[in-house]
Parts: sequence; structure tokens; C-alpha cells
Amino acid sequence: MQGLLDLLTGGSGEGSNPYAVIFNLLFFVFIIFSIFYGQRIQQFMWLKQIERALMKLDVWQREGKVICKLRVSNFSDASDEEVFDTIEGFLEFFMIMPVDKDPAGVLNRLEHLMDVRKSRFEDFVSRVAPKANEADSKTLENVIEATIAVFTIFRIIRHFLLLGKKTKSTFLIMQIYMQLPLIMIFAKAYFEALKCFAEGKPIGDGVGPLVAARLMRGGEPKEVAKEVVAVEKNINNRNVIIVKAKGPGGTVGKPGLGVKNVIEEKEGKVARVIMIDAALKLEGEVTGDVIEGVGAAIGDPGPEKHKIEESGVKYNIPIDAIIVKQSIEDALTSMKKSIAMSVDDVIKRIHWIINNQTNEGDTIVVAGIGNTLGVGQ
Amino acid sequence: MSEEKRPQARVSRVILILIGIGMVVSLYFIVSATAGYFQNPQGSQWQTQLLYGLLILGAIWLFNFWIKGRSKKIEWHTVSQLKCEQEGCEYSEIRDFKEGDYVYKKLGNCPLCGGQDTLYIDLIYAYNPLEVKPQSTETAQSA
Repeated sequence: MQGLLDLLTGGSGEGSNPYAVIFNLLFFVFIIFSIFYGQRIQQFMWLKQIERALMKLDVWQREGKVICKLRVSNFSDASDEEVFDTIEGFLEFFMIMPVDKDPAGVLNRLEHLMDVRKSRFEDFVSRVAPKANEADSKTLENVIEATIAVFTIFRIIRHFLLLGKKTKSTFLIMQIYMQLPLIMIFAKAYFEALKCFAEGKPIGDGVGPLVAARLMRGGEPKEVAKEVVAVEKNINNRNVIIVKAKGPGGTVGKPGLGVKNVIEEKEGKVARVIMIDAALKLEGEVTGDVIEGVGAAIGDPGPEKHKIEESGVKYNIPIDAIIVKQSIEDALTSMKKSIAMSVDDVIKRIHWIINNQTNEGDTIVVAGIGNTLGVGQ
Repeated sequence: MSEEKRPQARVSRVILILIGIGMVVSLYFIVSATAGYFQNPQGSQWQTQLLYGLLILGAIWLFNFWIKGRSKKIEWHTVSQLKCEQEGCEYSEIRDFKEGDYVYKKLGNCPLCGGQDTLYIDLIYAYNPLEVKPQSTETAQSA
């Protein structure tokens, strides 16, 4: 007991050190405090981190709204205030996903909802920006979509922060804190994308349409589905039909329907479908690397991919996939040089497939998938 | 593109070495202070050593904040690469991206071969200004 007291007080007797007493007392208070309030302290630190992230998100969503509103008001005769109010009212637009407890026909229902959503966006843009041409309207739709994305992330994080504070639930606070780095990466990517969309710069996701556009050069494009064009060209005595979204406005179109229509038009007599798309790289991999595989390379929620796979099965057509690796930031922001330079490599691989895996006289479909913002044909 | 090491990389390596030395020195002081405390709790030497150790740790912490504060994020710079579609003309120009630019947009006559409406945008891409700037080429040709 005396030993413990000595340790606490820095020794007994006249020679005891007052600094040691204070130091030891502080140390013991800290230990006791940590035992009872450790989790509270940790919760407090997590909340502070979330608050800091929320402040950043708030800046991004405010800045995003300003960019969006100014961009839209360039194509409108209405006063800025009127345009601002109309856009502000649209930023919480939502889509309820179809019920999947009865999965039969869920893709048709999802496609229907997505079509309705798209038409609502088109109507809204034509209403607030009547002076915008076709390409500008598509780009404005992208700007509004990106603004909604940043604003939605901000609202969700704010919701969990306030709910966590209200309930003092460690579980609620911890789960948002743990996911925060990834959420911030997505939010930043959408914010940067918003700026790119506003300026009409091609984005990393546009590498598929860029490859298709290069292959299309010199051909006469015809519309094969909504916002999707195709060009027939002779490459090494093969009839190659190149499909891409109609640029240079920002749209992905309905490439699944486009490819399906082309195959149906040829009565299924297609030797191969080659799809080119951007794909998310794994950490540690190099942006702009090109790799090959099989399957429908398309990142839509389902309906477009389903159409291509269905046509492939119906007519027994092999589907090749060539993808260009990139991160989420690369895919949504201005196209990086390494991605733009990968186009030559992709074209070389397409030629290799055409020369080695098809015969002369065959018909081949090449589909460049992605957002064609800033890429014409 | 040359992969020459950027000066920033060298600076951050020096900073890392300095931080490492600081950590070792502060660790030495803290360990010495702990040992001194158990040998002679009444002595004042361990307090001084502890003070030095904590001061160095604090300095490293502040230095780290300062470094984080001044580290600049990469500002990607977007350029448009122009080319002439006239066969044999190798005109190539890289200029800053202008609003309204898009890939395969026609830009008029070629300044090198004079081809009518043959100048177009071949590529638009973003590069890191800390790396080598893309160069325009106007190689000889005959149209």
C-alpha cells in the first residue's frame, strides 16, 4: 500500500517531488476517464471528422448549384432568380426502384421507369433552357444529374450526422465515419464531373465512344436507337457496324437497344460483337491499361446489358469486351492523357479480333459504350 | 514522356528523413525519461528529458500540419489536339481547350497545307502540368 502511495505521490518524506505528484495524478485521472468515457471521446472525434467532411460537402454542393444555375441561365430568357428557383425545386427529384420481390419482368419495369425519368429531365431542361440546342440540352441534363448527386450525398451525410448526434448511437456514427473516405471520393468525383460537364470536356468514361468515333471516321452515321448512331464500314473485307451514342452532347443513349436493332436488322447474321467501355481499375493498377475479356461491357443498371446478352444468346453471337482501366475520379472527370492515348491500343486489339477471329465477308458489330460528352462522330 | 524525378518527390523524401530523425531523438528522450523516473523519481533530469521528447514530438506534429497545409493538389490542364485530315499533311497543334470544342469538330483551313476545311480536333485530354507539357509539331509536308 505504501509502495502504491509512493508511486502516486512521487515518494514520501521531505524529498518528494511535487511535479511527479501532479504528473502521476494526471496520469491516473486520464486512465480512469478513459475507462468510463473512452467511447464518448471516440464518438466525439468521429463526429468532428464527419462534421469536417460535411462542411466540405456543403461547399461542393453550394458551388455545384451555382455552376448549374449559371450554366442553365445562359440558355434562358427568364430572370436568374426565376431559373434558380426552378432548378432548386428540381434538385430533390427521385426515382423509386421497381419492386424486386417478384423478379419476373423487373428489367422491363426498370427500363420503363428510367425512360420516364429521362423524359422528365428532357422536359425540365427544355422548359428552363429553351435556347439550348440538342447537344447543349444533353450536357445540361448531365450537369443537373451531377448537381443532384453531390446534393444527395450531402443530404445523406447530414442526415446521419444529425441522427447520430440525436440518438448518440455509436453504431450510426461509426458506420458513416468508416465509409467516409469512399463517400468523399465519390462526392469529389461528381463535383469535378459537374465542372467538366458544364464546360463540355470529354470525360474518362467517354473512351468507348472515342474509339468508336475514330473507327467511324469518313462514314455516314444513321440513328439506330434513341441517341445512338451507327456507321457501316469495310475493314479488311469485313462489314463492320460501329455503334456509339450520338455526340457531342453528354449522353450514353440506349446502346443495348442500338446493338439489338443492328443485329435484328441483319437477321442475326453477325459473327461477333465487340464492346469497348471504361471500367473501374483496382488500386495499384495503372490508369489507361487496356485488357480483354468476354461479356457485355456496359455499366448500366441492367436493361441495356440484358438486351445485348439476349441477342447474343438468341443468335449465338460471341461477345468480346475490351476495357480501359480507370478510377472513379478518372471516369467522371476530364479525360486523362493516358486514357486518350489508350485509344490506339484498343483499335489495334479490335483489328486483331477482326482479322483473327472472323472470316472475310462476316458482319461484326463494334459498340463504344459510355458518355459521349465532347466526342462527335 | 520522360519519367524524370520531380523536385517535389526529392523534397518529400528529405522531409520524411527529417521526421524520422526527429521521431528517433524524441523516442530516445522519452525512453531515457522513463528509465530515469524509475531509477530516481525525485530527480529532475527525467523531467527535462521528458520535456525535450514531448517538445520534439509536438514540433513534428506541427510541421506535419504545415506540410499538409502547403501541399498543392494537382490541377489538370485540358488541351485540344488539332490535326489536318489532308493526306500527307502532318500538321499537329496542341492548344488550350476552349468551350465549344469537341472531338472531330471541324475548325476550318489548315494553316500548313492550306487544305479547305481540313483542320479538326483529333483529341481532347487533360495532362498534369507538373509533367512534361505536350508539344505541337508542324513537320514538313507537301500537300
